Amino acid sequence: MVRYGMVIDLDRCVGCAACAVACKAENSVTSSTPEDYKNRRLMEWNRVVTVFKGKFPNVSASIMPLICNHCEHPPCVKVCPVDATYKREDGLVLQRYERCIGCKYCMVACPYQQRFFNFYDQKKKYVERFEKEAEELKKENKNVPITYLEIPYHNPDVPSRISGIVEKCTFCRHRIDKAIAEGKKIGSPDGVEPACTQACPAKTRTFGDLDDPDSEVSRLLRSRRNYQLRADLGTEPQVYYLD
Amino acid sequence: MVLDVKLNRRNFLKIAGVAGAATFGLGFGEPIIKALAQGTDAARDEKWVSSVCIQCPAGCGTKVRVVNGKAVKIEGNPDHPYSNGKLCPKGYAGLQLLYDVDRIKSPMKRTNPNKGQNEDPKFMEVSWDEALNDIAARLNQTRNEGKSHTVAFLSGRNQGRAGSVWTTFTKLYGTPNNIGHSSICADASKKARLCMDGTDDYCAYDWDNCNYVLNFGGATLEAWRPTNLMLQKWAHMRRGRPVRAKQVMVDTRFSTTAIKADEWLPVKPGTDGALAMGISQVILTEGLWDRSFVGDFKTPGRKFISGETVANDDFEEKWTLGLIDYWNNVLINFTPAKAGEITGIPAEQIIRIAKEFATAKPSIAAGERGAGAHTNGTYNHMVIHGLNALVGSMFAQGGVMYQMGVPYASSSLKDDDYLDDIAKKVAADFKAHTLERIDEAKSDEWPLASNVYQNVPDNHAKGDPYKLSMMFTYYTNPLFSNPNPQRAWEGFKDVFMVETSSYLSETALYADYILPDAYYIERKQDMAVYASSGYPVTGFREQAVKPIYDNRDSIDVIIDLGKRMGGKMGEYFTLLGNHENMLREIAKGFEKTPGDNGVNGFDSWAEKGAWYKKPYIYRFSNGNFYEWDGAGYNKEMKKAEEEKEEMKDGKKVKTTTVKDPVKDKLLKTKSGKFEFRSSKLEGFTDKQKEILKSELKSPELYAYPHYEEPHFAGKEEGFPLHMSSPKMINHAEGRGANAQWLQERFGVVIGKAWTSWVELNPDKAEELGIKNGDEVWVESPIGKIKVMAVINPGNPPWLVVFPFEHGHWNYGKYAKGLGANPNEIIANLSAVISAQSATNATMVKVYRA
Ligand code: SF4
Ligand code: SF4
Ligand code: SF4
Repeated sequence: MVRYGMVIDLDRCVGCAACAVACKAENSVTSSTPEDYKNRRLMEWNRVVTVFKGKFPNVSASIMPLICNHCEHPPCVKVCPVDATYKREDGLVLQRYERCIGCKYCMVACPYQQRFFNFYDQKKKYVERFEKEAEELKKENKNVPITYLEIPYHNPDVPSRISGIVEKCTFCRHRIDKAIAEGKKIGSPDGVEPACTQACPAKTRTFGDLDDPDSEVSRLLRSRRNYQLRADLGTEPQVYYLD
Repeated sequence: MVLDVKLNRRNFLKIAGVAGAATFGLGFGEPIIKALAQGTDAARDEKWVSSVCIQCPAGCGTKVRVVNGKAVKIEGNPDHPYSNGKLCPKGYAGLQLLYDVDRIKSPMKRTNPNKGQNEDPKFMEVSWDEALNDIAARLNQTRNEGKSHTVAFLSGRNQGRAGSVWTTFTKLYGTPNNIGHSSICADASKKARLCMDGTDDYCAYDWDNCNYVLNFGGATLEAWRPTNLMLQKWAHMRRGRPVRAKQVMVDTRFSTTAIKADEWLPVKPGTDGALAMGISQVILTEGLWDRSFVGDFKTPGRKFISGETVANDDFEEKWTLGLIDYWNNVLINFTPAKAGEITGIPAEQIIRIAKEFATAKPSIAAGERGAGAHTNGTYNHMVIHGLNALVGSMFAQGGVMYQMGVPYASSSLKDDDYLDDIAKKVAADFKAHTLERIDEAKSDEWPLASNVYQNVPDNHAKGDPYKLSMMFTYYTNPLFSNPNPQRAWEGFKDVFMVETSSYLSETALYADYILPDAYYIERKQDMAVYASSGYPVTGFREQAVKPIYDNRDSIDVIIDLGKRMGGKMGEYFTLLGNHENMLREIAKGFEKTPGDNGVNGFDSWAEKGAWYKKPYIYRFSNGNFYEWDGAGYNKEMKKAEEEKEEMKDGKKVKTTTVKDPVKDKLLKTKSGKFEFRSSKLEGFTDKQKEILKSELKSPELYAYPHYEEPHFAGKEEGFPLHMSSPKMINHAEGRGANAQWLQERFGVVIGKAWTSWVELNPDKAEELGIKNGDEVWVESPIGKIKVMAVINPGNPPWLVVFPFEHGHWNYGKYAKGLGANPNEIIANLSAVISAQSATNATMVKVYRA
């Protein structure tokens, strides 16, 4: 069996958040405005947090990238009343947007706060602002710039979301599925990787099949001390950290 | 030129079918690659186009994924040695900047003659023809009035051919005022190197082979360029090789780099030079200097003794000059204890670091703006750079070197042939110093400075040396990025301004014309990398998408303007043709020197997006310099006498010249040595020396690296706190406040976004009665600004940190009115010699608003 997982080497991580930005770009995740930020409506499937210990002069800090852990025993899946969130055979914890009713149970159940409620219909939120201008330009028989009509840079491989649903990291399932379809190798270092893993300048992240003893992820887990976030909760995260 | 991957509907269905089979049964109704299946027309025209990022000057190669004419992803170009398929977070944000709805969509003409923060420019759309004809007419009129020198060209990211086009334009037009903004960047380190080893550049570094990095105020993990490569190399030095290198970070604040370093030395602001001197003294007193580079006492085993002078004759220097004078005049009494007193770093720690640095070789002493942006910045960097010589790291494996140039073919068209009388006269007057630049760079006050950008507003306001009539700006925003930019808000009201930004920057709001540039994804350009690799690398930016609005590549616009100027200038630019011609011409150089990836001309360069050629060809080892001969560093660079027979006045004359390849290529000083007593500075005229010395507290040491006591604005007036205004990892050099992806996570370490803040030490905050999130005033002698306070437990109590990014008056709806700009309370002070803007030298007080 295939069981996908990720290993994050904190000794390599430089806290640059390239992973977080690459994730937003790759997965067409809604961009926020200052108001969204104030209202805690930031969508961050992938985020980087810093935790300080002590204070000057006896101070240290750890910088940690966080994503969905694609838990072996995902509490989010258990609580979903409509089977919108499910665990795929290859280990990915995924969301069926068309079934999700936005009850947010899964958000409460996730101990890692890795699920995000979509307050907006992405397209509507964006296009609404320019409707008037676009109309006027059309009336004047002028060219309407593409930026008025759609979010031009969204990844065509990832569907845009409607409002009222919950979303989260998919381990870039569109990449995995495409690789399967094209018969390509999957997993670090030389196979298809999720966007964050591919993007990371420090090669902090390694993605692959945890069930394959020869995979890079398995090799790393054997060779270095590693841990899972709140392993005591019994969620069995498939994202491991090295420090 | 671009890789075309066409996926027609048929192929697509096949793929979707396979995927369906493979994943069927995993979940009911599983939406297989739903996006692909969407829409009635799934036919796709997809390609990956090579480009080069522009969010910082690094020059990382990118690949832009273009689907049906839209750019949908930017990734690192795997074939570019600075990117290696990676990018820093800024690189990805290019898409949001390209598709920013608030970009300027066509040329604009100002109709409200009044300028100011609260003046609506009342811009009116105009055609390119109308704008360029009017500007050409004005330029010609100014020229005919004998005032061509009052036209200035201010620029920032002058990449590739942009640099040559602006240079030629100013030269043929007849103005010395082709002014870059390098002085508000990091000129201090460059000029320090110029004074000591004769190269006016940033260093390149052999990170792969280095064991120990002593970094003075270069934010490796945030803003030291080339950021992307620095991040990659950092991780490589940590985990990518058998021996882990030690990273020691000398920084005034608890930066990301300080957090991740093995050791952090929180020096008092402006004292980096003192720390480097303490370390230098230990290296000499402990006998740890590199004898193969520096030389040795004639009595073997002898060391330097603190407080005791050394006779020049007792020591035989090898590749250095003036070490004994440096010791006797500067280092002799500068003990680690003294360095400790000044810097706040305990003497024992200084001694240990010095010993580690000199014995864990190869070691690198590096640093940038943190150490340089002080009134003593150039001297700080001289002491720091001196450490590289002391431990033998100059051009050594695992040490420092200088970036090699790219072998572009030179143009057959020489601008010198197209100078008319006006242009010739201006050039001659400038050479004779009867005409100075508006910023007075190269004058007796600033003989070595490349630019004194930050002084332009004052000099113009005073009319000293004269008043400007017209100003062009390209990738620079003097009304925002200058220290105390209020000077420019006032000063530039009466200048006719032409701005080329495609964003409504502060400078654009003062513009009389805006000629909106094509964004980098919309244009072709060459881009040699920022120094770091040593071996030459240059990227190519192919046009990935057509301009979305009525924007034009500024380089073509300037060529066009040149044609419209008429006269000899018009002739030149007509022959030059266009930007692409220039690129095709320089690429001919690769026919002779193909890159390691097979790039041998324009087409392959544009397709692959990078030309590079390894290795770096010089190497110092075992006391000698060698050049790469194709197989190894085997060719010794020896001095040689060359005899030539020449016919002179009908007679045969023999002349012998000494060829010194080390002096010609590597140690380009007067002596051909690494100079601890700078002949560059000693070579100043009496007047220049007098001016320099009048600025110094230790004038007798003007020619030596030394710790010059820094000057702080506000110190005398009782402002108690130092202020640092760093660039964060997501800071795109003042051009990213409109990018949502960058703003959402602007403060990675501090956990704040979409705003600016001032960081306070927790004890200091308590003392001041300030809590996390409070609104506070930050006040300096220049003024005060309101901003949110954030407690950073890592920063020392004597320092506040106020990142540079926000406080835009416009720059699009996301940036407008967001946060505050620390520049508005930073005094305009400059480092001596380099004219590096001393942006870390203003002191402030903080209190609740
Ligand atoms: S991109 Fe890599 S180094 Fe940067 S924060 Fe993410 S995991 Fe860490
Ligand atoms: S991390 Fe949260 S969202 Fe992800 S699988 Fe675990 S419980 Fe579910
Ligand atoms: S795996 Fe993909 S979806 Fe998940 S955090 Fe990384 S980039 Fe985002």
